Amino acid sequence: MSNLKILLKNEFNILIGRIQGKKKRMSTNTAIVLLILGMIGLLVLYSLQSWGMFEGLGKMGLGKLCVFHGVITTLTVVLIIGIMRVTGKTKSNDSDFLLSLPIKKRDIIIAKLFSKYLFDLFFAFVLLAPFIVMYEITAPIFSASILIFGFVVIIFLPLLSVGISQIMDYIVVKLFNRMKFGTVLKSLIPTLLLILLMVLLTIKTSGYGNVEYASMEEYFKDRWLSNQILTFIFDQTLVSILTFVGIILIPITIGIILNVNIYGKNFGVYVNTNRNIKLKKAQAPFRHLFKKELKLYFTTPAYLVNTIIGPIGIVAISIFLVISGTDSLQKLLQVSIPSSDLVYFIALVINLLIANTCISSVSISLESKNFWFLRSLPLATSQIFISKLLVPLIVVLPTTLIASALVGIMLHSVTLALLVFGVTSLYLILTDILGLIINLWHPKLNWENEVQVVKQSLSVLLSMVFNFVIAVIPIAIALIFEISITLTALITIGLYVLLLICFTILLFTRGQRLFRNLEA
Amino acid sequence: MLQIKNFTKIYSNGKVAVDNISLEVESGDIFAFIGPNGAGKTTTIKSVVGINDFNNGQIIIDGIDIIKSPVDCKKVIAYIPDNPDIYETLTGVQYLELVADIFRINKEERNSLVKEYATKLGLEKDLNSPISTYSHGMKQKLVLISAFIHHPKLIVMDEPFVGLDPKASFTVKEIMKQFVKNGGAIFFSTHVLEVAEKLCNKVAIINKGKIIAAGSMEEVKKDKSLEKVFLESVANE
Repeated sequence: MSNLKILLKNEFNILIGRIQGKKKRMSTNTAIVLLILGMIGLLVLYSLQSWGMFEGLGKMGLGKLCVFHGVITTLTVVLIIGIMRVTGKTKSNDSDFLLSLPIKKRDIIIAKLFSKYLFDLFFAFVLLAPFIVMYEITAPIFSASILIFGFVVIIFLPLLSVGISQIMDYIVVKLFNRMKFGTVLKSLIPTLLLILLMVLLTIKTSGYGNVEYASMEEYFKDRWLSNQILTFIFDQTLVSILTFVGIILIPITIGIILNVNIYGKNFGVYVNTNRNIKLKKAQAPFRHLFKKELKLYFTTPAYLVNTIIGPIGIVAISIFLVISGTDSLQKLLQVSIPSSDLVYFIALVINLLIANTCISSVSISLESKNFWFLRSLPLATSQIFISKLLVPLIVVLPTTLIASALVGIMLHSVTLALLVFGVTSLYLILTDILGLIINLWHPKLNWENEVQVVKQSLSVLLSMVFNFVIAVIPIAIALIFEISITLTALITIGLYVLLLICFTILLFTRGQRLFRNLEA
Repeated sequence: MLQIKNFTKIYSNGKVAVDNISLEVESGDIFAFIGPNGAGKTTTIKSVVGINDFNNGQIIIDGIDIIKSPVDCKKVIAYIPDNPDIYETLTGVQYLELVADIFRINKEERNSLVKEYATKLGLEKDLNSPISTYSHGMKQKLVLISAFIHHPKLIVMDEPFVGLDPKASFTVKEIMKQFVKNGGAIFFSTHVLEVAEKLCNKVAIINKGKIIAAGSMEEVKKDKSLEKVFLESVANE
């Protein structure tokens, strides 16, 4: 067996080990079955979505547009994952071990990238495969080449994400490692890129629903990268094949070369040469604790980038609403209701964005090897909890305040602004506490890099599901029982207050016990 | 077996971690590398095993230059780090299989060697459990087993006795003696000077990146204890 194969097998064993859990190990087969079941579940979900799309647009002869939707969605997700994966680190827990073995550095890097590739492949498959298959099913003539080229895209597109993350990691390491505020900049740059990508996506997908068959090709041409992939799938010309190969091969090759150059190396960090040691005056322990939490959040790129989309989205949507007015929202929601009643929909959208902002649900897991320190401090557990709960409030609450103020301006009503702020801030506190409870319940204290905690841990998944359910329950009640928006708002506030009381009690009773029983 | 010639390591922030040191470890040697915290021991060791690059000098292992042929050098080395941070999600067996695969150890040999060393170190009952359930000492034992199963010519150890129980510590020392008796060489750092004094035939004392004493144990300590020599040497710097 070649070294690369041995390392790939090792990465696979590690992946399965993660699924099997820390101490109570399931059999390998059970873990694989669970993984496959999860994949099938998501695949079914996206298949239904693509089926719905082809039912509408496919019958109008716009099947290619549906595939284009699949391509642009997959490309966006793949690029977002690539950006979110940037850690600015040159070492992993096993880098010393691997580098001491008689293996080429290139093989180590490729094996490391392979597990990332597999992760992205799963998303590419789930997001794009249903559209390719559905196109073939609904197309008047079956084309094997479109099917094959479609699947070639699925197989190779994730390499783009992996390549981009490697290149960005190199740039971030080289540029910021030795800067005074390097750790903050390492978080900020991927965040800014993410914002840029989201803005681009919004611009490029606007007017998507109004595409006519005649202008479809023009619409595609205006979106260069997605169009190149679409051309590769449908036209299969030499130029399109070479372009696709270039799009995929260039970033991944550069990424590997750059990573070989930095992997395992110490680049040094900013050193303050001032030898005048001046300790600050004594501060309350809680203040230190809170500052530590804030610093952890703003200096961990994966943590910040993966949780900042919600707050940015809240501000972006509220600005969009103020600019476009209530009419555009009514059009978008396909409802015709009084402007004041729209408030509840706005609050729901804000809450759904908060639902994806899982800051507290990873705050315990991120302590990892420093957990012993937290536990050994002469501090009440409640103080530790509160310091962790304050971070999401500091990050998200100002954005809900801005959004509420903008809604108030748009609707010329202070009362409605206060209502939005009340519902959203209540929901924020509620999900914040719930996230911490879930993380105490399902902590992940053994990890190699923060991305595994922030993106791939069970506590994040559970938090998102519970947050989503809590956000939509009131709407479901309103729809089922056909009650008025005002009454729905009152029920929502009542329900949230009740849940808030329950979760707070749960956190400071059972949560404290869970914390004491945690083993790092 | 190991030649370190005019080795210098300067970190990118300008700090000189190791300054122009030269050492030689021959087959049959157990070489102790001692020094205070931050003296440059781990930096040197990491360069010897090919983890860190260095700025000047040469490191030659079994006649091969680590810079020119790192993979060939690593084939004859076993490295035991100071902190056995190993894959928590793998079982002990999976970890040993990984190492055995990389060093191309055949099935029969790996089975007999793993059994032999696991029994000696008292880890045989735990090898099928995930590494996440191991204590620090158990992880250290696992890394030690992985070092001995692939017939290295040179073993480089960074604080190998930290976390080991007295019985395991004794066993490791016996294994080390047997290893060098069979023609191997060991280069290791330690803060336990009594162990170094009793176990090693050669020693080097490093302080602030420079070698301040080196040679055979008898030459370095003369009629004093190693502890006294060490404390005097470091204090004089």
